[in-house]
Amino acid sequence: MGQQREPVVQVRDLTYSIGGRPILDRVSLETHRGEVFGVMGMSGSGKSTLLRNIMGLVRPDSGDIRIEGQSIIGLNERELNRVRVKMGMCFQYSALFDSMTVRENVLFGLRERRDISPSELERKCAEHLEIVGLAGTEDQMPAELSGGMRKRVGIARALITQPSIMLYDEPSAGLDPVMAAVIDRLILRLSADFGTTAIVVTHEVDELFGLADRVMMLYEGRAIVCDTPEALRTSDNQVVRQFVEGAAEGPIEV
Amino acid sequence: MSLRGESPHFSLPGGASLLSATGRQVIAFFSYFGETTRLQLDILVGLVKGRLEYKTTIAEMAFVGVASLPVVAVTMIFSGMVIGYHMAIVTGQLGVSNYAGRVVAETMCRELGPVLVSIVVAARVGSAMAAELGTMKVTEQIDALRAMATSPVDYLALPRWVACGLMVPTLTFVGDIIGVTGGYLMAVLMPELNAGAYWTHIPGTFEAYTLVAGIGKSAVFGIIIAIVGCHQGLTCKMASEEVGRATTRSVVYCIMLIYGANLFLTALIFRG
Repeated sequence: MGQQREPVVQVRDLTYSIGGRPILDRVSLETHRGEVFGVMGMSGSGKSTLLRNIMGLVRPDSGDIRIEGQSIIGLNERELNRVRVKMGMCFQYSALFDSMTVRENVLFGLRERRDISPSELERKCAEHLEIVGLAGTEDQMPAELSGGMRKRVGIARALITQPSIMLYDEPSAGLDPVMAAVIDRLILRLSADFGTTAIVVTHEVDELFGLADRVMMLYEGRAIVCDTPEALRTSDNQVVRQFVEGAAEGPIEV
Repeated sequence: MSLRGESPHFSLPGGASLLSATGRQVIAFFSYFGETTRLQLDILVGLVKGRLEYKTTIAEMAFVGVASLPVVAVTMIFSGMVIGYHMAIVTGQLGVSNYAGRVVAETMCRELGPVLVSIVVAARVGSAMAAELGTMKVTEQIDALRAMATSPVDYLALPRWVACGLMVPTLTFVGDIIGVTGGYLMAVLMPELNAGAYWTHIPGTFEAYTLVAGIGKSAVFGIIIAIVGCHQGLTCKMASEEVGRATTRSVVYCIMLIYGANLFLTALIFRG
């Protein structure tokens, strides 16, 4: 239980703006070892930007972000890279390297590992493609894959370095319900078996409630609530209620 | 009529004053200069610290060098022939047609070889670099690299910098030879020129320094192409039309900087 409560990602009063327009406004969160932490919100509410801040891809205006206790604020790119090796990120639009084959994409994170033999690399690649249901696609180019297949290759690529923290940006967008369920089960298995901490960003409420231990809702750049899925389902907050129920009428301004 | 705010003569469309527009351009210039200098320094640090990826570099060298050879050859052979044609007339009028080969060789190796080859490479390779890296930026592939703890400068810019720095001089050397040979073809075709005497003064009075200095200039031009192309790609804004703009800017900036650098380097290298 002590290990379960170990903070892994801590965000304190994170504020981020683009061109003077606030995207995130004093957002705070804390995730623990092995936890699946969900972030939901309308499109443009700052969910993806929150992940990009946590990965250190953008620099916040103010606030603090700690990864396994180490603050990433003020680190240069090379220092950030030493923190990033603990994390994997599944991008919303896959972000596969389109000049490389599926094999080269999946093995990219291991390309400098001289201690792994080519046959072992091949085995790892096949194993991770199998996990995401894409066995035998090693020699295909990303352009030959569907959007859902590209998404799954992106997940395999992120998982191959066995990061202790996984950031998923809309992991099931573009996937059919069966494959979305497979990916959700994979996220849960990684957390249960390997203690991987997952932060899952999505606007798919049902998926997130079936997946996450806790869910935070972002609205207009602010974290308006953070609680268990059960508590959010019965929340008195009108914004949360409208979002969870998917109602057209309510306080959310469209 | 007041000059404070109301006069249309001192305003640009959108209400920006001439002064503030000029100020923005000055800031943009120094900002660009600072960013490209920073990129150059980061590349040098990566090179010194042995972060060069050889496999990528060899692929880039093939793209910059081998794949550019046909267009360089066509450019240089026709340029050599045109210069040979002019020299046939001019040296014939002056009664020194035996020196036509020497003049073509000097022209090629000092100026036309380095500048023309670099312009060709800037149009072909610099634009491709900006387009490729710009597309990677827009499709979040640059972010994916960073998320996987890989420096885009080390992985993308450094191999291109090395490839341009090595292959543009190599192409220039080959282009010089093709250009001078093009001049010789004109000597064979034109009665004003003595083809047999075309080569006479090239090894005799033509200095190896001229050839090496011209190739040295082209190494600088190659680095300019890599820096400008990579910078435009890596700093491309997140919109697909911006990739096109970055590509165009890359070619325009490369050509302007090559001309400017050529003047400076020529004055520095060729004295008297």
